[in-house]
Amino acid sequence: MKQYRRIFSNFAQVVLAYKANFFFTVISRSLAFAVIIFVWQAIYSQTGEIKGFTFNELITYFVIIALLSNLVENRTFEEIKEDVKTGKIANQLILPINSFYMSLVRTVARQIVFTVIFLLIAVVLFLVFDSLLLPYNLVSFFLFLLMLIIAILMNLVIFTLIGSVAFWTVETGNLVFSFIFIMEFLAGRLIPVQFFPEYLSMVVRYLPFASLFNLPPSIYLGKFTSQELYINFAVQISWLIFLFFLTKFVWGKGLNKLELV
Amino acid sequence: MKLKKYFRLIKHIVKISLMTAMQYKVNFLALILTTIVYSVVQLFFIKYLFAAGNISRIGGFTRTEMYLVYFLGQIVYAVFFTVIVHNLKRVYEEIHNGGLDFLLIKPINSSFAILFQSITFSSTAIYVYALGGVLYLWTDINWDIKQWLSVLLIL
Repeated sequence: MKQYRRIFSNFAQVVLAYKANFFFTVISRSLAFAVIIFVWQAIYSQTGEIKGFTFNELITYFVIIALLSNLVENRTFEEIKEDVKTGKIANQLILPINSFYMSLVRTVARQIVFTVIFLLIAVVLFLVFDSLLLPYNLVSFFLFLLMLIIAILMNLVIFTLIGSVAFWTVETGNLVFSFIFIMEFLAGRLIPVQFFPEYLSMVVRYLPFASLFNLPPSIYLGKFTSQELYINFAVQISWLIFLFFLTKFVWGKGLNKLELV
Repeated sequence: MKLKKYFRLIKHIVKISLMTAMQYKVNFLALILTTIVYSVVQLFFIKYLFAAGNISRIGGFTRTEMYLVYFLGQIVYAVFFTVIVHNLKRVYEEIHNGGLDFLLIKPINSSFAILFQSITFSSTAIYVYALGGVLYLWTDINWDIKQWLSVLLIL
């Protein structure tokens, strides 16, 4: 455990090492967030409520999405690709630590640094605009935290699984981006899944992507009945367990292939 | 005379860049696919924005006008990305590995040397669908010739 703490600390320092880059990343994310607010403000100026969402609920939804974007922002697949390409993966394999968990820890380090900064921005927004809502109730808040943990873990396994493709085909970048665009859209990052046509909304709820963006804020805002909550948690936990073992299996096969080469 | 030299240079740069792109055909095709997927996602986003609120205008823009703004924006982005953005990204690397010195000692304008190191064809798909989109929307947009000329001028 001690060595993973050290890796975590090292990678958190790497994120903060290039201060100008870090500063402009925070600025560009904040600007993108402001654009979303303005677009929805223009829409809500013509209508009072959209599919059960008031303007303040939608703003809260997107603040949580922005928070999640930092938490689940994942470059694992790029790092794995670079490690395989440059041969760095061989150095990791001779270290007395598990390369699979090391890959996860370095991703978590970056996510936590950006999340802390965004939380500070969210607090300022909360105080200045007074449009952010508190959780629907205490139970919703605890379920939201639980789904947040599922979202982080789901994101880690999905991107590690995608990154593992680099063991077979070194250049994975472009196809992966196609997958990410579709996945984020279906996960409700640009627009809540509830706003999709009914058939699409139903399908998405049974996919593992739903927990990445749509479910945590929807639970926070109390948008599900208790029966829907049971189904959502059961579906996402089942996906998480399945994808975790699939990722470990694929990672192991990939390492075997590397060692054979 | 000088201009002729630069046109000849651009011709060679385009030829070499195209040969480089064709060397990794699968990667090139994947890049085009990614661009198309990204655009389709954005178009659905606009569609659902209007459908969700059951509204005809956002900030004074109709859905057709919104699509048009998106396509025109994509054309501008594609032009910038084909030459400028793509090469500017390489400047950091050139500074780090000392390659910029070699660019500066070439007997051509230094800005040209930096901005026209190579051309990326990843935006090819954007030109096709964005121009196609503008032509498709042409009849739905009731703009007169002055408005279209203004847009061309801004582009």
